[in-house]
Amino acid sequence: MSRPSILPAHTDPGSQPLLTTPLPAQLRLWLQGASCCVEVGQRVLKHQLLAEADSEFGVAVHAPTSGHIRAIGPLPQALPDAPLLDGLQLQPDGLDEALSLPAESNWPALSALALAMRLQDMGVMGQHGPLLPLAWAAKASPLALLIINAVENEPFLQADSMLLCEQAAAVAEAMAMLGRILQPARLVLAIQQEQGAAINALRSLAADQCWQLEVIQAPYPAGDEAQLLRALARPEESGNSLCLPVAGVHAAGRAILHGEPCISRIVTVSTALKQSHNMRALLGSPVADLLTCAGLSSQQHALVHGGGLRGFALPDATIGIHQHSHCLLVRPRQPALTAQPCIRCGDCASICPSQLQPQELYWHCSRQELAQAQHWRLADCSQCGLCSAVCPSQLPLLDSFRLASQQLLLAEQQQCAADAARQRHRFRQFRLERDKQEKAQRLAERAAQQAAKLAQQAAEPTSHAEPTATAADKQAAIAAAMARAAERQQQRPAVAPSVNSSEREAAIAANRQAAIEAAMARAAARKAAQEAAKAAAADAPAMAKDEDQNKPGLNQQQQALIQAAMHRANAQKAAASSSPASLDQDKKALIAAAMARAAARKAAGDETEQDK
Amino acid sequence: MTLVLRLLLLLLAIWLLGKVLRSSAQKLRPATSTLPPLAERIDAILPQTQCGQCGHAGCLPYAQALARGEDSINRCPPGGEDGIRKLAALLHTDYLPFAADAPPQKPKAVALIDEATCIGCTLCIQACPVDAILGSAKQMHTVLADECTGCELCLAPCPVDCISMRPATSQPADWRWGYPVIAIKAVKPGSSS
Amino acid sequence: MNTPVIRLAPTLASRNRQQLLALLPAIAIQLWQWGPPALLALASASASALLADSLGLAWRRQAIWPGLRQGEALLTAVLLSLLLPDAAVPLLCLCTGGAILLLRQLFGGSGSSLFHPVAGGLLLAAPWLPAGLPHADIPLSLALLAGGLWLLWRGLLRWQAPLGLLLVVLIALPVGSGWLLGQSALWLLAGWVMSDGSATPITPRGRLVYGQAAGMLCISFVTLTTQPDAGVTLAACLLLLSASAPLLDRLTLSPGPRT
Repeated sequence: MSRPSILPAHTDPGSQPLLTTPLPAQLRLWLQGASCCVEVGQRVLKHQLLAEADSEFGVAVHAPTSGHIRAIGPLPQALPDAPLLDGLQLQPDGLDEALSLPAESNWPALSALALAMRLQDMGVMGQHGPLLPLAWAAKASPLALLIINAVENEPFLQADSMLLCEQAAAVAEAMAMLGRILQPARLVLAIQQEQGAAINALRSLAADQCWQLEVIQAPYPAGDEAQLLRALARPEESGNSLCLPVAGVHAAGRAILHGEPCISRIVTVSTALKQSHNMRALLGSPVADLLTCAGLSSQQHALVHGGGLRGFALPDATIGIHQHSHCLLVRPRQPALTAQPCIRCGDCASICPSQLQPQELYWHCSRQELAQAQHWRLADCSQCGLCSAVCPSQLPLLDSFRLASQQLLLAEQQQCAADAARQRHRFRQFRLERDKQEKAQRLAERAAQQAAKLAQQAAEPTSHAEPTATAADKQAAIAAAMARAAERQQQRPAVAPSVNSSEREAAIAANRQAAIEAAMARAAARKAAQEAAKAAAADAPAMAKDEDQNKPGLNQQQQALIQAAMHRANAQKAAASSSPASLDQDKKALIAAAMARAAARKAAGDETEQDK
Repeated sequence: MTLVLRLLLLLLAIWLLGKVLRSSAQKLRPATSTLPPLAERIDAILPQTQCGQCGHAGCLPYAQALARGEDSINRCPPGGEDGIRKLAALLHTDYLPFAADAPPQKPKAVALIDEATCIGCTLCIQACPVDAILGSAKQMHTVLADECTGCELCLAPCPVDCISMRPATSQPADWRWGYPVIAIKAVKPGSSS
Repeated sequence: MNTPVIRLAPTLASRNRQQLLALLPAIAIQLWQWGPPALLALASASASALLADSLGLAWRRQAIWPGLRQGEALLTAVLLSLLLPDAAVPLLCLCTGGAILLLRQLFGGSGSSLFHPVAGGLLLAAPWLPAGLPHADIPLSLALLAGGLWLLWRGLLRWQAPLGLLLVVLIALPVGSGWLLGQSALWLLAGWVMSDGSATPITPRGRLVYGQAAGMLCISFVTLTTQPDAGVTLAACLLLLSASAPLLDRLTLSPGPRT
């Protein structure tokens, strides 16, 4: 079973006119990766900025027409079972007053990054996020191959062909602009052999331009980015090439050369009777309006968003179209098909363009065995949907592969986050240890200095009385011994770090734990006090009594806090005063902290008792 | 006599089969010497929130305790049941459900400091196991949301209760328009909607 | 669940319907040869198959009508009645129902059965079959061949295993395997049983090996032993080799080259 023979042939839009949808009663725009900069009730003009991109992957949103913002809040997405996404509802006022945006007059001077950011601000979207990925543009690496993807071989898609037939000159202009700024070594417009009308429209233009027309003959998934790159890029080009959808390129031309943000797109509405209508619709137009424009009603039909193989059912017709809504399929409602068990016919494996074994993959994906799914090359699945379309048992192969690859992505992200957290935690432990050592070193130095000073003082007044001299000698000897001890202490971690450092680590950990516990106790006491106060406020007659009871509690708590603070201060001072005895001091500090904790807990306990 | 001979032959065959199976099993087992220490392999599975809900001072101590066989595998709520399954597979033990009194599993959340209330006491900075809080004494602090593991250790030390947990916002990488994915919802083969 | 908008291949039910359709010429010839008793045998085998299948589905707590609608039970019954034209009607009913219950429903329904019910049913009936030298049935064989070619043209025949079998039979012509080609059972088993997915390996290479192995086993049995019935011998070989299908899958199935 070969792919070209069983896929329905591409139909050209032919002589059908490009319709324009009437102004809808309401527009619903999503704020994906964009933060809103208008308010509810505000009047906005056509082309006015409604939301600006707030991340690398978001694009700005502009008003498709003039009107009032009616609501900003979560809206259902045009995806099955997707969570609600923030969006805004715009009610057009019918005047279509436009804000005139200045065209980029000096566009040839733009750098790749400036162009990418300008396109992001103009709301021009590519396959994932802005047309030109910002991360790629920031690298400013020379571009070997730029592919403009006009291949449209999924059944029922016509929007790109229509765009090329209608706006071939504008697309050529946009490509010339991209070629001028990005300076690719080779600029190619890829198109499918069956798109005859579009090829004819382009042939006449391609002659004296800086780009070539590549006619692809491979069957269906050839329009995918990866497949196109494999087909068109030479080995030396495969590392630094870029593939852009033709609709985005056209929008980029309008944005840079004419200053028009991207506010509309061409949508194909195709019916079961193989009729198709192409229309230019404002972004955010409800799907129902597009159907009405095509002479259909949304009531008795099932709606599919996307092409014939990758499309998915839309939950309802009030959802607004977005930049990736290239096709809407209207089918008669059918009873849901029941999946039968796999009969191991092997058709999915023979049709898979990536030479996978979908039946094995499905088995593991449906059992949530992601490791096994990876072994069967889930990552190489281009999610073309051919396996689902040929499966005689009507198994949801594509759905389960989509789900599993997203789960895999999620698992990878979690693993990355966990690795980063582990590294940060280890560095933190290392840093605490290092700080401790540095502190000990500083203290040892100071002790040595003091000892030296004492020794000097002792050495100077030799003519003094004998007893004092001997005393000074003794002191000097003690100081020297202390300095030696300090030095030894200093050297010891290097010689035998295991014992000492582990003890210290334990001490540090214990200290931290103590601090945290004390704080927790404090917090508990505080909360209890707050609750008591609340109770007092609520119960007016008992107020005076409560206050009387509260005060000693607060005092106790404060005292405990002060004590704990003093203990801590003492402990710190003690630790600072002499390093050789620091371990002892640490212990003392621990004990003090524990005492403070006990006191605080007691206070808290008293408090709660009083509460009761 | 033949019966005895047959029995002997049968025993011999069983013994030989056992030998062959044992040697092949040993050959198939991955060499343990090339793998990293068990504690590290366990640590690689743990979610690294360093939250201490397992009763240890971090993920690595828990991993070490598990490697020594001193603790049970169902003590890590952030890892979820999936984490328990992975641990069970690694340690060749049975799956254990969470204990009834175990802390409940929560969706991933990120700490957020109410900047108006923060007094700059640095206690939360000292408590944070992954250095995800920035700030200095008497200066307002803030949480690096990307680095926050949601361990909640900073909530308790805060003297003014200005830290709250917010559900982690969805990242653009989690969801892309150009990639028509279905939501995370188990697809039951055979069930149709 | 998002069902794809276009279906590029027939569903399971329509696949089975077309397989039945391809059997029509053979059924017509058998009716012409055997007369009304053949019709009775066909009807009772079908009834018994449907009954056994619904019993099995009910026992497995599956929806009965969607299961029956796939038409696999009917296909089994028609195949068995074509394979056993001279068997008594009760025997035919018994082995049809028994094969469906034991080899399909007991294994967990279509797709999960490791052994093909038709081959199993033929083997079940074998001890009671009238002994006698098989006679070549050229018209029936030609009708089956035509049906098989039509299936091949429709893209519904997994051709690798039948091709392997025929290749071996052709190569072994000097040994005296030519008479096998006149046996309708050979064509029936090759076109409708060996092309089934669940009882054969899933890869093209595995299927080719499976067909060749079946051919070699069958020819050596037929030439070296006194078993005269090619159909029963081939069915036994197919059952034996079906058990090795998972092994062949394991040897020939790989995730493929990473890209």
